[in-house]
Amino acid sequence: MEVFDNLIHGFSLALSSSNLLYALIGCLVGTLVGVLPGLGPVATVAMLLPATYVLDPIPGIIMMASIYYGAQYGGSTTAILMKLPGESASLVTTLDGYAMTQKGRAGTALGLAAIGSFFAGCVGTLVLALFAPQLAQMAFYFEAPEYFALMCLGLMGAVALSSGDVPKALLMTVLGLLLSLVGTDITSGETRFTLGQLELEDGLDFAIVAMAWFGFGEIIWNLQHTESAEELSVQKVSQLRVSRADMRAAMPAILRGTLIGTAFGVLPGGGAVLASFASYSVEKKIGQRNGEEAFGQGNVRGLAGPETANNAGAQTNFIPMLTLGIPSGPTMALMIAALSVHDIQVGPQILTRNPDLFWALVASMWIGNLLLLILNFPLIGIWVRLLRIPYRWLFPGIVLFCTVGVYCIASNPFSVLMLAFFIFFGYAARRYAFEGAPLMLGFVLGSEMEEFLRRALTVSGGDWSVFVQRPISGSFLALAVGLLVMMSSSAVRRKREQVFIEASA
Amino acid sequence: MKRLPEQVLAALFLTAVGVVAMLRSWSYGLGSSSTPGSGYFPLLVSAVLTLLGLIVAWREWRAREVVQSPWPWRSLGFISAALLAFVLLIGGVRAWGVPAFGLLPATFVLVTLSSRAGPAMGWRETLVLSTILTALAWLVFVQLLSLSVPLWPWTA
Repeated sequence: MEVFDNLIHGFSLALSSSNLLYALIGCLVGTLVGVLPGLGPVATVAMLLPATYVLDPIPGIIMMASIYYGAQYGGSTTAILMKLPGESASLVTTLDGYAMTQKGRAGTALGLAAIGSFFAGCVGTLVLALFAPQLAQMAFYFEAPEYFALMCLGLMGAVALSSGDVPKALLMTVLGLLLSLVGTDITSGETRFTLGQLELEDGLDFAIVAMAWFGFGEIIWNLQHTESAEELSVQKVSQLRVSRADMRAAMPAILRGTLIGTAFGVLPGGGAVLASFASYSVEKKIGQRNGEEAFGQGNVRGLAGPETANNAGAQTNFIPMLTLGIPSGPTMALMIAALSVHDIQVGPQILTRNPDLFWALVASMWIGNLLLLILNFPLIGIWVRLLRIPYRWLFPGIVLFCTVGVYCIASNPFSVLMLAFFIFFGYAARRYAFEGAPLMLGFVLGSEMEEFLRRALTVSGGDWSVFVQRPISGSFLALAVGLLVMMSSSAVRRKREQVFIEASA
Repeated sequence: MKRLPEQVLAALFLTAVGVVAMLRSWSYGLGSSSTPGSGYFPLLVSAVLTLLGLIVAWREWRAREVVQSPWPWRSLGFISAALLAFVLLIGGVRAWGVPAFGLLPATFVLVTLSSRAGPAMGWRETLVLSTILTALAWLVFVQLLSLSVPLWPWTA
């Protein structure tokens, strides 16, 4: 089997002592920062990505991926212990997870989350190794119209999965597209929307936008609502402990969650949120068993299923990201942007052009998951202690690392000025519930969409119907329109609001 | 007449951005649909932005929900001031006769100023926090990530 030869090759790369060290550092730092309250996975990844720029591509992406898992696990920890979901995907985790914490079973909840994540990670990695090459093969039949249509579908998916108002999410997507056009037009060499600033000719840096939205906007929001944040007390958790009975109760949910998460994660537009919601409702449908806690009051299946699904989705999210260049969420969008800093273009060619990188990444995913499992059992005490750092000490640190990080990427004071300018908008967006995730997706996809649109139109001689006439691109567009119509139909909207309210209540 | 809710103004602001971007796109040259120019896609995007901005403004106006909390000017002000101070200190501004101070003083001031954005802290606590975080920044950015930047005013 070719796949296994490739996997072995990947492992031989990923297991080199230096790469292993970067994976370890990535996991540790990712968890450490992700666990800090007030920092979701997106902000964590945005803040830590500059650190990987100094590395070579392979160790760089290995460390990035480890940071991503670490941040994910850190996010689950705050969701379980403090009812603070860092992102919408861990909203569901807070339901039964926090209930378990209140009943003094935080150790079990964290343990199950770790085991579920590891299991999901193993399956997700295998699926990635098996199906990514297939998908890449298929993607070779894609031409400009297909890519354009696929990106439209990806953007619609992000809109559909954002938790807020649909028109607002659309507005943010389009704003992201517009922001991505700032700078030099690759085709004509003309500079656009630079307001005469030389520094803007290379375009806006995604890290600035991400930090302004997810870092600073969040900080100012938290400071404003600080009274409640200060009172949060954290339970003492000295050990992760999962009894055999709990394991037996949770295992079916973990299996189902893996299945659901793996399937949803592949969808362009991002399935992690959908996966965790789907898994929760499946577990709820199956019903309460004898001697089990009620759902919402600390049911082990209600925790393990969604948490596993979330992580399986986070793993298979890499499939559309790597093979098609379609990010499934803001974190994946950051990864694409960071990879392009390393001069790696994601897309179907990645398997032929950078096979070492691809297989080393796949192998390091599994290693990263294993490292997380091993690390979290002894280190949980430290993570919990980190949760107790008061916010007034924490936020100046976040400000510091974001600012020096941005300065470090561009080594240019102008980028820090840009950041200061965008902070205002980041906070305003948070204040009026304009979500950042669709904005990031639009921002990352914008310039490529323009390229594909141009190519498609040039080849078709300016005929727009090319997008509908080609079967694959036509069906992608139909799906995108279908999603949009579904989202604006009032019945679905009400159901959707109910789900998000139920989860955040 | 009642004041417009802030969200409506925010949406109208984005509409205005859309209109300005449309005008700019026009000047970049639209080309034709078989040979799209530099302004073709931007015009499309900014037109959609304008339209969506109006839709959102209309919906928010209909909803009539008013954001109650005041603007956190203090937090916003101190954090922006901290960033500006960092820019001034790290590079210096030759036109104003401000010399470059180097990374360590710049980060120290950055932390001190931004910590004022939060709940009140005694000067001793602020001093300790700023020192620790500056040391941490030195460790991470200079030692681990080998950022090459002058550290002190006399090495700048």
